[in-house]
Amino acid sequence: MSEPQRELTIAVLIKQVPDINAVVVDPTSRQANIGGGRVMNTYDAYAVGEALAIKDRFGAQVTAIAAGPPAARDVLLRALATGVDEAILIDLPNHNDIDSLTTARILAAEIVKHNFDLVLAGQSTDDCETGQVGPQIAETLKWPHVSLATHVELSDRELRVSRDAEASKETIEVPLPAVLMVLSGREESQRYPTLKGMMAAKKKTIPVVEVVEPTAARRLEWSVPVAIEREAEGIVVQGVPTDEAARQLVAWLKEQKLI
Amino acid sequence: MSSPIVLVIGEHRNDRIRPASLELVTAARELANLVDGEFVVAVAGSDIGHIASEFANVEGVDRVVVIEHPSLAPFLPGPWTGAVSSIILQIEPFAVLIPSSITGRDYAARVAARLDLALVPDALTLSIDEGQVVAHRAVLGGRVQTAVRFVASSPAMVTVAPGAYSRSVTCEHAAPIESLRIAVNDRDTRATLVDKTEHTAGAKGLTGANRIVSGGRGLGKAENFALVEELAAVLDAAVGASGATVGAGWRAHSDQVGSTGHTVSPKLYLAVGISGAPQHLVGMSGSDHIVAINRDPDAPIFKIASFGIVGDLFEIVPALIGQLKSTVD
Repeated sequence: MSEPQRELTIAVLIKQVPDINAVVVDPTSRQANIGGGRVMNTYDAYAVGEALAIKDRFGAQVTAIAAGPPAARDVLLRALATGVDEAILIDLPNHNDIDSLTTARILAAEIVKHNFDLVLAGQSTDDCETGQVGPQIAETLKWPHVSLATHVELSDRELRVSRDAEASKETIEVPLPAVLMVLSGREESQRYPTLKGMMAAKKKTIPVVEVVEPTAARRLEWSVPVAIEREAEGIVVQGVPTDEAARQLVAWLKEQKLI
Repeated sequence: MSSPIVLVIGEHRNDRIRPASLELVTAARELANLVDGEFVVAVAGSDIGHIASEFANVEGVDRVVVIEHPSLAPFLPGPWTGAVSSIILQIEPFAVLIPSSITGRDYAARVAARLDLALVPDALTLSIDEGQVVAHRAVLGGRVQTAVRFVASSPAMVTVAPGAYSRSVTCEHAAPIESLRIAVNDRDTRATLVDKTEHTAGAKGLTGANRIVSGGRGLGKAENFALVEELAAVLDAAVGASGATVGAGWRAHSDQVGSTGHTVSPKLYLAVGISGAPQHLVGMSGSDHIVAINRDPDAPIFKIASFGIVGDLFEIVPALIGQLKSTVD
């Protein structure tokens, strides 16, 4: 395998999201209380892991980019602490008020400035779950994208991407530059910050990029989300012997005509 | 002025219409009726004349357009982006409905960017208010829903969540079929599929299954999925998996139920060792009957379960298998 002509440059895109496992629905207002916790989006953490795995095997300069409020700096610090080389914060305090295409265009404009070879993003976000920003960045840049990526090989500026599709495993070949949306959550692609990494991260400067807030009329309007959660009204069997619990379930399945 | 058109991009796999597309027919027909409009299904691919004929026989379809091009099979998002963009520009619809499948979502986002349109994914319901399309969708892991209104983006473009609408059926009437021509741009064909391995043929498909038994992290390790498989066999059910187990490499992604896997709505969903992370609940909360077996009484899965057993799955599942076997015999 021949080496790439110059060191690969990778941008990994990170979103800071509410910790959705901590979301509580207010019983009166039926609205979601997001709480204070903000974390790195699950799939973006995998993307960071995959970017660092590529760096380890093929050599690369990895830059983490987040668009959001000043507090989003926390997820960039975490990325730096796990081994990412540089980080950039795009100042976008109201990032949840703009649609995915606007976000994609803002990120694409930053990516163009740095001449990246490869952009990695998570397959989807925990909070909005559109999964649209990655493909829309690719489209804006006129690059190809591969979604649901689980493994990446690189040779002569050509990527060989393993992808876990709905009913098949696929291998896609795609030339650089390209956008990959990372699915893999395998243990080996997880990176955890070390104390030493945290110390080093704190010494790094994270440049803040100001963008002009979009002035065009909004394409979409969202209502305040309200709960649709089914209330607990089911039968719960607890503290009875195993055979009795199983017997009750079988009886219930029969009663409901499910067996 | 001609009547507004509601356009559905019909999906097919292995030479068959995919069931989710029949749900989109229902959604599109309802939407077209609200605006006194016409409902057109577009079928794209390579050598798909018979798929077009099948769609022409589905109740509610006014017209079928066929787009054949060799670059459209096997599926890659690039050529499909070009094709679907071209279809939209030629048909000039009022609304575009795309299945919220892995393939549908893969090209829909790009098409929206190419045509400068807003896209709302995973719509659960569609309605018209003051002439504007309103789509409901779940956010924050399915805990809450928001109504999204297309205030300044036309056509309104959505992907429709599987299971959100009932399936349309075939009828005697055959809608007219016509061909559309498209050109595929070089820049859309840079990715190449070099290898494809279908997952275990013969395994029961999750989408469309009446009964599903799913396993979660509570199983402890991949080998223990054998318990889930045995229970599924006794119940004649398909096997599903939580995102955590797929992430850990215990199961293939094709088994995954949840926000980045399948959305399912079987008659019976039996969750074994699944705590019920929001990403999982969003994929199965539409099931008719949910049964949960978990050791943690506070697990969120019990909040939506119609029948829950709090206890050790390694004791309960074998007991359940034994009793079910004697019942069936």
